[in-house]
Amino acid sequence: MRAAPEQTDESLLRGARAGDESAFAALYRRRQAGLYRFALQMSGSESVAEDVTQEVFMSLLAASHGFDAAKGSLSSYLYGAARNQVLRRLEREKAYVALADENGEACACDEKVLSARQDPLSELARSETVEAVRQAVLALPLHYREVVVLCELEEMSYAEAACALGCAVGTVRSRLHRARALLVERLKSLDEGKEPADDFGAARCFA
Amino acid sequence: MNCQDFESVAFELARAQLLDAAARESATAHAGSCELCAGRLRRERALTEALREVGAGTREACAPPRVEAALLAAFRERRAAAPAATAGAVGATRAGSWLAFTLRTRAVRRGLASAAVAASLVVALAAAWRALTPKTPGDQLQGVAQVSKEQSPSGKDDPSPQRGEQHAAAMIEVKGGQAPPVATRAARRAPRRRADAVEHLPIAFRMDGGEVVSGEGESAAATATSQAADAAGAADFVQLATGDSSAPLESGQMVRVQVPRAALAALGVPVNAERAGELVKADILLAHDGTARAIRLRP
Repeated sequence: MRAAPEQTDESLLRGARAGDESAFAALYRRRQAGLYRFALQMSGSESVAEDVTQEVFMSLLAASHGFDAAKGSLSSYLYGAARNQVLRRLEREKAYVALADENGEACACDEKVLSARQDPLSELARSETVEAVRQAVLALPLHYREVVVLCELEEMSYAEAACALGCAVGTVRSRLHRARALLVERLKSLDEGKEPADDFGAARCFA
Repeated sequence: MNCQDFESVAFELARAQLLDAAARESATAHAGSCELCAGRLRRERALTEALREVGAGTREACAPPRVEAALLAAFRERRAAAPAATAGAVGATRAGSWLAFTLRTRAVRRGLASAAVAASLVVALAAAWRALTPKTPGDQLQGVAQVSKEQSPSGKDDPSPQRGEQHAAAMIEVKGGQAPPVATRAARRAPRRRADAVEHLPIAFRMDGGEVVSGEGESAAATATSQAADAAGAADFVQLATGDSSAPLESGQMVRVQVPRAALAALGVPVNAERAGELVKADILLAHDGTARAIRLRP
């Protein structure tokens, strides 16, 4: 059985579980990028994102995976699994303390935001504003962060995000409203720390 | 629309997600007449732009190819093992897949000891298969002789004196090594990945004049008495023919692992197919270089 583009996620999963490697590969290639980005933006760590992506798909290979098509789409199940993995890892990360390197500086490789990438040119290309927004997103409480990641960064609709998070559409909307308010306040305060605030300070901050 | 109403829809207006045309027009009109709300709308729009820029920065991000390679390898293992499912080979594949997966994870990379345990598990099980599978009646007898060497120091029943002497030296130490108690989980460094996989209980010990001393300096022999019931119920260690097994075991670790019976079945150990999914406990003695030196199946 070949994995055709029009095949649904569920049929690909059935094929994969029947031993069709191409179906499994097609399912992975279709869904891995979104899951990886979600984990990356939630954790700010590429290594965590990589592990989460692998673990989510590995769970599909297990005989006891919990996907039930009657309860929702496979996409939602995968995002839910990735979300749980990310939350678990973030909890686990709290137990670790960054070690000082030979120069006495903290090793911030995984804890730093997306700036963990060590490419200086890439870093130069990033604007200060975007970095500040990233930091602000990562500083959000988890239930606010996930709706920002899904609705703003991944540009999902409220309904899609609600499916992925297993909550009501209204909950997604209200959390997004609150999350954005927190982001505005956070970024406004950062801007006010640099220069006297005025009515358009925050707007200039994002310009 | 008043300012309070505007606040509730400002973010959706900025995101162009305010689908109700009447509300959209009303909100826009209000922003045109209220400077405060106009400023809020500007900030919301600026935030929307910034978030889109952040999202665009990772739009092309995806998992590296090694993730797909690892998953496909695990998939092939599972598929290859599927025909032998009646013998519990699926569980073995799960263990193998888990092991391959575990070796790559960041958490395990942090813990050198845990990585050594994971790597040694495969070697240990393979060696256990060798040790537990009698090739010839003579080999079987020799294996018994090695394990019981301490009780039979003369070694008269050893058909191969030279080889038996080498193994005897190691096995006497291993016999002493059964005493280190698995007393603490504090030394566990690697986070538990899956409940049905492997649980690491690394216990450091060193040999001191033939007596096994635990990592905390506690005499294992002293605690052996309290562990007598446990020790009596446990099978003896069986030496594994891995690495330089004739070298004296001066220090190392004992780890307790849990593996599906099917993992043993895949290595040739007879297993009841109905219980293939059950986990069995085993203690593995690791030398200081990470080589598995002996294994003891636990009841």
